[in-house]
Amino acid sequence: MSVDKPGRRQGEFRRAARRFRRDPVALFPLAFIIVVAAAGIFHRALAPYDPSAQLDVSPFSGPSAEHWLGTDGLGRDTFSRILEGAGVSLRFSVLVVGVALAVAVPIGLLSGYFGRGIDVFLMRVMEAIQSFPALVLAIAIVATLGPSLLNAGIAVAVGAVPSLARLTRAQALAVREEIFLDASRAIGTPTRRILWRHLLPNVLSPLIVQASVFLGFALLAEAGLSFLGLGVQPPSASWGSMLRQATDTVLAHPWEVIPPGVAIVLTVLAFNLLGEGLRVALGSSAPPRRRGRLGMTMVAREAEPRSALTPPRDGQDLLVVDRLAVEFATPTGRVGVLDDVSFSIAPGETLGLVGESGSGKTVTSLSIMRLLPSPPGMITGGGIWFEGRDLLSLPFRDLAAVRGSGIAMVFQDPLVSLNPAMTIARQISQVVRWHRGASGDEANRLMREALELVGIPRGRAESYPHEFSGGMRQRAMIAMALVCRPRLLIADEPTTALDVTIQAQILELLRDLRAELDMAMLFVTHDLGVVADICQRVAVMYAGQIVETGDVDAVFKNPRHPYTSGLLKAMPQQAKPRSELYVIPGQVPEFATIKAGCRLASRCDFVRDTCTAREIPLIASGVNHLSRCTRTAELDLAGRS
Amino acid sequence: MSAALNDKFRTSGAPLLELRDVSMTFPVRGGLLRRVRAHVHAVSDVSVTVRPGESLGLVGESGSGKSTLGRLALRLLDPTSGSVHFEGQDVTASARSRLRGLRSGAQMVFQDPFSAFNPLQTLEASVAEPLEVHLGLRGMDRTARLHELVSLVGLPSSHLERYPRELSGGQLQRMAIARALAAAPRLIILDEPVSSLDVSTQAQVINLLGSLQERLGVAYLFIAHNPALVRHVSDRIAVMYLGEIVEIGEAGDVYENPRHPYTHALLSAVTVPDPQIQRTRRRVVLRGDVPNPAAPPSGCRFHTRCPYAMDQCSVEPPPAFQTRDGTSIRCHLHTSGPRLDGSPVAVLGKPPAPTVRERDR
Amino acid sequence: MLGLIGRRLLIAVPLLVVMSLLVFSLVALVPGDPAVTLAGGADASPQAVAQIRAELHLDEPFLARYWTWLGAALRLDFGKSLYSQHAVAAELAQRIPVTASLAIAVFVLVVPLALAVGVFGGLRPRGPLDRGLMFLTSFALSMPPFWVALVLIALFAINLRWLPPFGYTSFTEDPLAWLQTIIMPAVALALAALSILARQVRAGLTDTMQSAFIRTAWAKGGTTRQVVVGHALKNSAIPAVTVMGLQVGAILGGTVIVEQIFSIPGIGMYMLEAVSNKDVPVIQAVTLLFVVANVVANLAVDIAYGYLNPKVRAS
Repeated sequence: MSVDKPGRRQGEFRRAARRFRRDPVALFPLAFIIVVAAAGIFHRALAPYDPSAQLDVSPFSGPSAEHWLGTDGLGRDTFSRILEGAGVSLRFSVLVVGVALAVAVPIGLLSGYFGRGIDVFLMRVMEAIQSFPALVLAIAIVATLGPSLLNAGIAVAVGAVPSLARLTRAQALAVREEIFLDASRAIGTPTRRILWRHLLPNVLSPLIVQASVFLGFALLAEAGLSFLGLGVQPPSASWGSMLRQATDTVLAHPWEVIPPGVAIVLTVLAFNLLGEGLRVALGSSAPPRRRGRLGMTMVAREAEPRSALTPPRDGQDLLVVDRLAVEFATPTGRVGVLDDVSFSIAPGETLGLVGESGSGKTVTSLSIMRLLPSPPGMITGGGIWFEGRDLLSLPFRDLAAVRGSGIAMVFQDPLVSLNPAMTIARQISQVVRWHRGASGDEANRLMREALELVGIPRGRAESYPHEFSGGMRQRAMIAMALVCRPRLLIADEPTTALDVTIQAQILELLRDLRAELDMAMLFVTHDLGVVADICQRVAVMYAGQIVETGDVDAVFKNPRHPYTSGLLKAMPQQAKPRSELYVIPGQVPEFATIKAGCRLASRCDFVRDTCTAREIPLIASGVNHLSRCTRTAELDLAGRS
Repeated sequence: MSAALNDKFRTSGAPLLELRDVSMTFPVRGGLLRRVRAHVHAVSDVSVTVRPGESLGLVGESGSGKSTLGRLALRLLDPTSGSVHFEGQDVTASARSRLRGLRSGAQMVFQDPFSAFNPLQTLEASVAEPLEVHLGLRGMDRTARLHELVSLVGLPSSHLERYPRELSGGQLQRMAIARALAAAPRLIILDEPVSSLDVSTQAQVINLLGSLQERLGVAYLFIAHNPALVRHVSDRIAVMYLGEIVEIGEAGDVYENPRHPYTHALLSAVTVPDPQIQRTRRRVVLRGDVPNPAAPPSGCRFHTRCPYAMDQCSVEPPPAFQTRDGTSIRCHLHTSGPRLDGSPVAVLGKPPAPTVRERDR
Repeated sequence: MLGLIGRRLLIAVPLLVVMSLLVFSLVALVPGDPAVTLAGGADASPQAVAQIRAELHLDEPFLARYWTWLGAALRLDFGKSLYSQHAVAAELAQRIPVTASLAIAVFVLVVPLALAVGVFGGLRPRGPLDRGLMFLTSFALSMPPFWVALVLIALFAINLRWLPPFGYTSFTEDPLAWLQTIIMPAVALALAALSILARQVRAGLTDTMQSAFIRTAWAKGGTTRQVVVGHALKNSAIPAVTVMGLQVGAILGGTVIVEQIFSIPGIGMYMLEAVSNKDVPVIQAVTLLFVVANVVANLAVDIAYGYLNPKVRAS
């Protein structure tokens, strides 16, 4: 159980605020905007001259000590006019975005939450407004209402409402599907409270980001309209109207377009960067910075593996994983997630890799083909030999030649693991073309053979993945893996997403194919029942280590590690109905907090001082049976009879 | 649950929850004008009762309608036809605002604990929601009840001040149970409550549910896809296939001696963590997929995948057949053909090998 | 696929009817007596007022006027300009190719460049190249197109004297001269759309590259080119196409300002002239034209979306 730290109890928004405060790229634009706003508000006090006064100087004087940004054609001080314009432009933006949000958010919430008729009606209206090009709409509105700042504001706000409303609606639709709204409805919470307490706060984040971006957008729109003479009217200055004035004389006095233009660009840029900073602070999904080669896990081994580690025995082992170590980069530093993982698979043999979530079984299976993304993953030690070659030292080309041909992989969720925009036939035949350089006919022949092998009717080959059921999709996935006849199939939880009766079909299929194609399998699963069904040997993983490995009969009947025994006892399959199930107390430790010694120590009924004194190796506890437990020889552990 | 308590409730007669001939169809829109093209028959004419204090297990695969049935029972969905009765009161037609009796008397626990809580609220705010809505508790009373609830599910009170993402899946599911218990309901609908949890955590939650039932006498409608789990927690089991209950009876009877071919196949697909059993047991592997619920097969809905299907099965929907021990089965095998007459399907021996046609379906 | 096109058309046609009504009712929004206002205000001569009243059929009921106008518009007859007295349709026929050639030039700039920027950034998110490109797009998004135009003029026409500051030569007349006159306005218009699209491509590619089916493609033994071009690009183009549709409107609107600055005799300039002259028939015709162009462009986008995304096609 994790220790209470007062600093951890923070709401999402407070957390976002903290992230935001630490982000200089977001703080700087905010500071800039505050300065500009202050300058606009207090421009009378700050400006060196009256912005409308025609001074007794030569027009277009250019920058000088008295007039920092020069004077305009009427001899007015440009810097003072920029300050006045700051107030006009920012006030305009804030008001317009405020009004647009006040209209758009209720529309989006109602539309998204209630759906049906209200939604159709409101969204059609929004669509109609959007089919006017925004600027044309604004011009048309101002042309009819007459040019003034107010009318320009109405025009810009009307143009901004649809996209804000649609954003709110999309977000509300997504939140509406969240279980916690169902939970509140099941409690009987009144709709008003659901809308205010649950829906609105959860749609707020993207709106805050968009509000910032729209402030910049409104400023640009104001500048555009004033530039056309449809917004601010002389003599008062806005940045757009200053530009309008400068255009007439641009050929003779190009400097004039610079000060108002730069003011606009910097302010809008500040709003955009602020929005970007808010997006990063409010969302958690900033993509990690890529390292190493695309599509291949980074390897940073300290020791040269060939000399330091034992290579595989010739002919006996198809795959050897030897003392594999993997680390993840986290915001707080590198964390070891795999430690001393060793196993081997003989040709035609099926090894089950079993463990709970976070045990490292999927990291192991992805590491073999170096599919673990970097970041966060990095292989920091050990070796992986396939048919005598160390996969960790292969260049990308050679590794790609092994992938899909020598070793193939089937993933857990076939719906997301297949390309949604490509037919099943093409996704399968592609593997043949990539590896064999085969002609279209040859590839198609092998593709049809593979489909037949997994029992997909020929007529369905040209379907897209979404047109298949879950079971059929997994068959397609298997066909794709087997089309080049690999010697090793890595199946990563291939039946977890499937129904019980479909799982039985897929297990039967894999059993048949394994025999038919003389193929070895690494079968990754959390389900000990499935391991018992399809595997000859098993490796049990816990907290990034293999804790027990051996033949399935030996391990299930006579487990030599308290964790394996505990898992078996916790399963309801053979427990007495309604009896209390065995519980392994506590929780899987977080990788960052792992200390030396047995990783199960804090949860184990049999723990002794010796367990945490030092790292524990795998200890022989029977024929081909290893256990990472110092007391493996003496303990009386329950298994399956 | 203690046997004495159990018996007391069983004999007390009146069901806690009763669904009568409940159907739920969802329109499927399509075509040029997005007109309703077909209806998905999620639940078809299902009648089922939950007695006070008992555990009814509802098992079925995806698309069987088991989750829809759970939502209908709580009136999170309005049935297309049929009626829902809670504590003897017909709640089908009540306006949502007048559902207070049902809303405080029946609660729900959902599958994914991570999305079952508003991520922007502390767990205290979430767990207190039913207390505020139903009991109007404030101040000290509210705090006292909250502490009582979290200790009931075996969590420290300090967890109430946390946000959902700061807890593990198992801890959150305990919080979800605490929230469901807040307004002292007589029934909790558990929709796949442990499916997203690991084996060791799953055992913790299952044990907790068992001890809570023993202490509080609350009834469960336990919905799950894993028959072994349902068997472990249930007094009675109902098996659903394509929107219908095909078999319902005492848990031991249904699990040990399945009388419907679908139940038989479903149970034979359960894997047991024992390599010897897995090697030697007789498997019934069903061919093909669950048919599209928008166009369910005629007659018996299972006939397209049934290893024992007879001509009659594709024509006539089978009526409910009652056995002497109180199991109810919808299958023609018991009245015609081999006339099982309430015997388990296993007496028929190995089913005929699937024909080519079936395999290619 | 045909079903999708049909469905979109079914939405587009009524939308256009509603839009045409809105466009037409612009004249009803003019404060006061429209005839008086349009004739130049309170001191306009009664003859001028009467003439405008007659030309715009202002004494007839509103819907009847709309009906007449719509019927004529469908026959491509938009009436006469109040200001120049020329037929609006003839004027449009001359000006449409000008604006169209500008819009095409913009698209030729936007699409390939946005793809290149998006792909180079998206393959190595948060790398030095990506950070640089993303800052540049942020910067480009912050510049008003008309200011870009002014700066371009100041730089390339006045300082360097490489390009003519104003004017327009048609493509058929002299392709090289056309290119010289169109390049600055096209760049001014393209920058914002280019940035938005590049950011979308980049975000889409970053997402797609992290998705499970890309992992499958690597596992199948694909090379970088096979995985990125064969699997990632098409799927990340799906959201980008939607964004492109939204940019069509922005580009069309932008022509109004940019044509004004560069004195390009296109639709946009026509619209501005009409606005300053309160030339209602022209405003109505041009606005309607912009709306139709925008709706048609978005229809094309929807269809492209269906082509890229088989799920949409089916439903």
